[in-house]
Amino acid sequence: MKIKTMMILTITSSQCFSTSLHAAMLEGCGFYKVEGIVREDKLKVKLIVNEKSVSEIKFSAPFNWETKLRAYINDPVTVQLKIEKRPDGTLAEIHSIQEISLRVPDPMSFKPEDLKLIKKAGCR
Amino acid sequence: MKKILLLALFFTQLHAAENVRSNIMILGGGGEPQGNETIFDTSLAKLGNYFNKTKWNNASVAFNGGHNVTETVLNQKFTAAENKGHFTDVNYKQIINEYTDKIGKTIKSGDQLLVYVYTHGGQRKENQTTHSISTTGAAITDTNNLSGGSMVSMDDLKTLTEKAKNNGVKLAIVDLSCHSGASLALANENTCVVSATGPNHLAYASQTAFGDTFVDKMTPGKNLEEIFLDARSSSDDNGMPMISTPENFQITKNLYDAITPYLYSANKDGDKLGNYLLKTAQSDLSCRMKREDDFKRINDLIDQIESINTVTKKVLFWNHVEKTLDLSELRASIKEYKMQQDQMLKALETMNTPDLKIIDHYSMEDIESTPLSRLELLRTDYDKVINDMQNDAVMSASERERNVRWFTYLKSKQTELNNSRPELKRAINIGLDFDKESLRSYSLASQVKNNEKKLYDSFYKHYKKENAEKSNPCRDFVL
Repeated sequence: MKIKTMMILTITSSQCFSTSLHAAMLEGCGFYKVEGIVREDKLKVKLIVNEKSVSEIKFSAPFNWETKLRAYINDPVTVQLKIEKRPDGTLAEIHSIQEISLRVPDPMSFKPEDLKLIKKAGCR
Repeated sequence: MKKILLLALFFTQLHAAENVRSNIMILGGGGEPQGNETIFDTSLAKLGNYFNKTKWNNASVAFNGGHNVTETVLNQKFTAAENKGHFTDVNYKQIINEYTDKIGKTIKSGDQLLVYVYTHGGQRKENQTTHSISTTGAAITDTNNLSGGSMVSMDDLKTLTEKAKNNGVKLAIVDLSCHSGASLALANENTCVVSATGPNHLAYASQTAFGDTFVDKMTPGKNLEEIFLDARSSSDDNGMPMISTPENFQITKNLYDAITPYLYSANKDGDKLGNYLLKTAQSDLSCRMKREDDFKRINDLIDQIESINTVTKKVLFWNHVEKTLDLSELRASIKEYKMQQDQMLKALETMNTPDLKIIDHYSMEDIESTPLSRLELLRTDYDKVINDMQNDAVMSASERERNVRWFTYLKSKQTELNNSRPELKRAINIGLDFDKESLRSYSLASQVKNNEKKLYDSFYKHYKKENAEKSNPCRDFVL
């Protein structure tokens, strides 16, 4: 068979992985779905959204939830969490964590990490 | 008579070559961490040596900013070039505008303009034709998307390529950054684009990597296609260099998508292999099938190119078919790396077993109930945490005592689970081995890359036979 008559099957990676654009912003207290990376700094474990960018947001956690986050240090994750204390600018405190899963960053779309308010709740 | 005609043609071309005015624009050096040096210095110095040996009509440099060694190279090697300052967003756009404006005025039909770009490059974004490259400023933290640093788009060169085409100016864009294959979209009838790697892959900076080798091979009288092929076959990094010739497009259309995962390796600042495997492990069946189809496609390509490169010899009364190109090492290296990746995929799948998702609640008298999945309990390095807590001088003694007690308790629960469910421990160990196996990935990808060069060269020669008489902007751009 001649090379130039070869049948080429072209399936691009975009067919396998979907992409979309959102902006990350804290909107008070409530339940959030957060994409970020878990980092340890001076023995404190934090969840960081859009690390080292102008839209960086840091979540600290009480000791028991820090224990859970320790399993994911330096991993990109998606976390469903609740905030009960009013965020201070770009700093927020996790009240509780409902779910964590490992996440694959998507350089193809270059979308910033996402932070979505799922359900609003009153601050305490 | 024929000899006289050839001689006359030679002198006419020589005279024409002398009349071609050469111009160069040197850009890059961005996204590097603070310090004296950048990873681009060696290549820049080599380019400087070439620059000083040749004659340029217009030469401009906008490179780096803030690194002493790089600045010294610029000052010593590019004295004849106009220094446009640091490689900032503003300077990048200004230098492109200046040269776009010069086309049709001081840069005329038949003249040549070489745009040399050597900096960090990100993967193409959804809204881009090409890709982003790093400018001077903060260091990048992710080689895939250039996050942490500032950047500009290679799309900004589009107007320059169109004006060059409309005015008969020969333009060459040599993009040596990561993911630079995306810049091949800038090619047109008058513009040749050379990239150090494909749109999905990293490029490398070392004396034997494509970027440096390309500069080493730059010789007056040679065309860009010759330099590219020479540099591609003699460089030794894991990139996938490309050139905007019909031959390259024919090869990459067949090969690139399929070979992509076998040139990936794991690295901490933009892990290609880890991201690919995690995506594949989490994806639906179609992506798994594509992986298998791609593997089959590479093997079919190898078979086809080997069958083209055979000769039939007559031995007594029989015809004996003999291979003149043996790609068995390529076949073996891809197979080995695929098996390795398959094992890593299995490890990732194992970590997703329902048993590891079961949540148990742990608490102590002074610590609230903490829900931890078995995966979380097994994958935390409690020995390290306990050691760090014991050696911390900041926290109070009571806090330290409580923390050490808590993590020692969790460590004991981890050991219990390890002993009662050894199969879960094995699953996690496979997962932990993932990191260890990742380290092997660069050498496995290197084996694939070294053998792929033979395949690419052979395909290129095969297609070139079909296009031998045809000109293209890369063949027409003679240094």
